[in-house]
Amino acid sequence: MKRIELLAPAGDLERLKVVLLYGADAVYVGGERLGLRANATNFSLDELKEGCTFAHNLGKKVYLTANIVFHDKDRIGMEGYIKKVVEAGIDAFIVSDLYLAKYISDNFKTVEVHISTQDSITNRDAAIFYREIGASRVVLARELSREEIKEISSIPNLETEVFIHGAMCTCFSGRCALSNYVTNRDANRGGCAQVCRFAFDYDSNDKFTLATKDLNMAIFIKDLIDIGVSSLKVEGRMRSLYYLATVIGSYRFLIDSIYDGTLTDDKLLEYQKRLDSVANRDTTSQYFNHLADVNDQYYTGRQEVSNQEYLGLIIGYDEQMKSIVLKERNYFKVGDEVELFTPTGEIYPYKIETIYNEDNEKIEVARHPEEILKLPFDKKLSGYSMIRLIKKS
Amino acid sequence: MKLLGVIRDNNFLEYLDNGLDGIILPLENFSVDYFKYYSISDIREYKNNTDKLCFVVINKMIFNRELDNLLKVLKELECIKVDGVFFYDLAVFNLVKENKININLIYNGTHMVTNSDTINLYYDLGVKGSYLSNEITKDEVLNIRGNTKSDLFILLLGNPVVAMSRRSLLTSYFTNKNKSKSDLITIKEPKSGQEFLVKEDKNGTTFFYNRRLNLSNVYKELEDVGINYGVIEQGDYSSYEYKELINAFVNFNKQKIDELAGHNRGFLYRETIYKVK
Repeated sequence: MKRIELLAPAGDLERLKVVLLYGADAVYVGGERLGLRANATNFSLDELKEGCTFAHNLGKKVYLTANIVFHDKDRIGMEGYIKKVVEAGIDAFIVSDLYLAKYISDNFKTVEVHISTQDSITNRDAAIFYREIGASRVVLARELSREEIKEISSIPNLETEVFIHGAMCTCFSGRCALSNYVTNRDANRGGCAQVCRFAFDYDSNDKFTLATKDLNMAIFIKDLIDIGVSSLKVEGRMRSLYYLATVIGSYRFLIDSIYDGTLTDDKLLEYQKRLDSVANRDTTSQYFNHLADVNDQYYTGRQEVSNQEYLGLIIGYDEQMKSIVLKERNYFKVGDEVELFTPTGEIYPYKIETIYNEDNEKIEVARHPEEILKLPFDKKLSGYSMIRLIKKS
Repeated sequence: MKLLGVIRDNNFLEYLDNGLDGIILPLENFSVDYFKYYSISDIREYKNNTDKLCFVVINKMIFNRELDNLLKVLKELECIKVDGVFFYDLAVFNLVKENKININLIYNGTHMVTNSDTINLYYDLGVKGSYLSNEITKDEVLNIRGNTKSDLFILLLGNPVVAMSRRSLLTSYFTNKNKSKSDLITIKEPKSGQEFLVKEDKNGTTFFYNRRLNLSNVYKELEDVGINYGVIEQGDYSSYEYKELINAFVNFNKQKIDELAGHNRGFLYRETIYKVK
């Protein structure tokens, strides 16, 4: 039986490499056209080629989001662009517009067509319709319950992809133009200003908010495997390297442990906590077990909290000083207890006793993000290993 | 251009003598984003009482448990011989095709009906018409008209639908605040000053723009280029005002329409942006 796919977001080439190294089976990215994150650092054709080569060398896949709801003028040059990104080596398009889905399906037999969550597929007949026009996969609406997902996932010759982690839209995807009306930025062409996270005046004493908590399905991964879902999708092409590494690494561990039959309640709890530690909002399972309700929303203004546990990215090893070399991200100091973790899942508890700056001078406190620092450690760690704070001194 | 009404009063039949060519009836349990819904027997009564056009809206997201009932409803609408069914969810299309139900379909994708190619593809698949999005410019409307054989519907006057959620946002809000619930409130985004009506029912929550869209200034041009149907919503107009408004379109009186409806031209001359430097 085919194992479930872990699908990760990547806003740029570095993120693509990180999520694949941390265990994603496939990655979805935006190109310079047709995507719904117009302000993300999207992939040029050369970057797409490099990303596809990197992924394919690992036996993994790259999907390109082309889920814009296009207007007539966006059509200019569309065919040429599609041909070029196919030649760059992508494995599938994620599309929402029916014309685009059919055009790709009819003309490019080497790539798959996945229907975007933008189309809010909520039932089996809609899913079958898309299969008949050539889609191999549908990304289901985020508003579905376990039973609804299960029933659609039983349709023959059609894969289902389900969001498991990250931010949620308040409204049905594709059925929201709040951004258009408040900011003139087109929600369905990549300009969404996330107006659903604004606070609105309602009466003189209070604000009306409609922002949702985030999604976290860690405790339901086994259920999703059992009901026949093909792909588990993490949201967040614009998230940090650290966030992506932690989230993808955690879900990789959970999925593998479920298949191996080694997942214990303690481990599940540990990884749930790890996922919570990088979240900048509260999380729930949203619609999976019941209709989203009062507990799945926020009722005050913006709720994001910044996460400062990511201390640095390990970028090399100084053989002479027997030290790891890192690029600082957040403040830390001598005495802090940290963990070094690698893309392949190794975790090393570590107490900071000495910090060197780039000139090999001892310092007590690392307070300048982007500064190059060294920490004595007797083992070289693989690229894209990271350091996180466990306990301040 | 044929004029279609969306009527909130119970006595919806009385407006047909005022010059409307027909009305749009949102079907109860299967439609969202309206203030009044109609049963199958209401629709049958309407058809029994008039030869005017009768379009039915089935625009909610459909869930698996609703598919059997949806099929029954579509077969009933076929028997009633309605002039068309506005649909959002492709389950409607799939059921109509699979079961060879003889109904004219009109693609009603709300914010998604924005280009000629997609409209043409639906047309080629047998969808007779498309209801254009409110968020496209006049030039885009004209361009689409020039590039498709599909019947085109446009909102001439009414409060545009802005967003739709499956969530019971008002129930949640008032529960959290421990206040008595209202099913309809007005909210304002403080920086832009834009106001929205927020309405909740059993299918979720809809946001409407709280300024009526009024396309009186391009009505004649849209008619001349061949937009087939214009929709005039009653909204919160009284019976008398709504009849005046219909008359003002039928015997075209721009000044009167603007006097009653204001001057919000929506996105006609305001292209949305999506790349922010």
